[in-house]
Amino acid sequence: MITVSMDTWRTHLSLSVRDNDRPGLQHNLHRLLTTEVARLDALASRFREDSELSAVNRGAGEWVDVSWRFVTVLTACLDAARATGGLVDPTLGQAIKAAGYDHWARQNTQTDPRRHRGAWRQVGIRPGPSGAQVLIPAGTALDLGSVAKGWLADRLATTVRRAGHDVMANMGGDIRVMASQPWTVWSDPELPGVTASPADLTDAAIATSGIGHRHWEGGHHIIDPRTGAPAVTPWHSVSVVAATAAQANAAATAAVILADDAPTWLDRQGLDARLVSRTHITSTGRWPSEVAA
Amino acid sequence: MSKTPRIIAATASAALLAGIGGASAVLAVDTVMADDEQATTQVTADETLPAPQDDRTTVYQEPQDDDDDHDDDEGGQITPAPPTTSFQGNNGGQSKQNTSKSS
Repeated sequence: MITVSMDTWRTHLSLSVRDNDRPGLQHNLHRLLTTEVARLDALASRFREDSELSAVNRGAGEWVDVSWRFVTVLTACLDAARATGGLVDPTLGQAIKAAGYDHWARQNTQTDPRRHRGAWRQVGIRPGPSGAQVLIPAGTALDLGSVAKGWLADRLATTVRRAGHDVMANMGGDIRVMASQPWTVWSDPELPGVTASPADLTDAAIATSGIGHRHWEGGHHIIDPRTGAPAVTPWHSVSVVAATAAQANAAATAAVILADDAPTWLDRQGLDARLVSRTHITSTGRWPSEVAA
Repeated sequence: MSKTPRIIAATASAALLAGIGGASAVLAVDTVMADDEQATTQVTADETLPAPQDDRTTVYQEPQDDDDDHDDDEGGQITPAPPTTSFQGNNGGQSKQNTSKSS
């Protein structure tokens, strides 16, 4: 087993292959990981004044020049919005900021996010003079954070798999496996008294969303687009297994927002999920039933 | 009525994409290589990795009007894991690298 890792975005990122070390492989894996993380950061960080995302947010209401790679990430996030009926909305940046979520690079003034429900449908994309151009509605801001990590896990795993390796990419808990033999991954809600639960994946992904990790007095980072405020939910964490990490991330976040309606929504989509509250554990699909300790 | 974006063309050339004009929906393409990447990421000749591919890029998406009639249930496009997935935990103990948690 070869694993390379780094700590950034206030989380842990790793890339593992089932292989004996060969000359250059570990070095190349590390280079791939650090290069792609740096590229995504330059595209989509809301903490950097010079990111393409910050430029789009400063120019809300106007067409802004971006790279095609930025469009690729944005497209994954718009796909997530479409697949969740708008529950995972990349245009909720202002709502996250209004909810008190830490530092942002210079953006537009705050507005009432409820006025912009469904603003993801009003995002425009077109070719520009030297790349692409993106338009977001005035008064909104993009936040691609959660789905982008899943997108990166899928991108890294696909790249390494093309070289013939069994691979697992873990981008802060958004895990994509592409392997010839099953690879065990674990759902850990990080809740006292609740143990981690395993899943064996070959070509699949797992992601966990919850309100326990990034929270502060009076709020957390998962915004319900129907209210523009932090979601009111019984779920401490939701883990979802899906075909890709971007999709698993979107489904897990949507499930947190859907609260008591989440198990029905997940079942309807045929998704395997583990939903953990402070009082009980619920599962859907093939995920085994269990009881809280 | 739901307005699901349509794919109206596909190509593998970023240069060609930039020359397309006048479309009014979503355009998806397969395998657009990033223009600043080489064919391989190579440090030594012993073990190389291919360059990542931007394998799906929307080229045109027309902003939809705020007052369009939308169907909030148009989702359901999340693909479940394949049948090879199981929940036994037979292939490895828990570690930092294989654990999914909220972050």
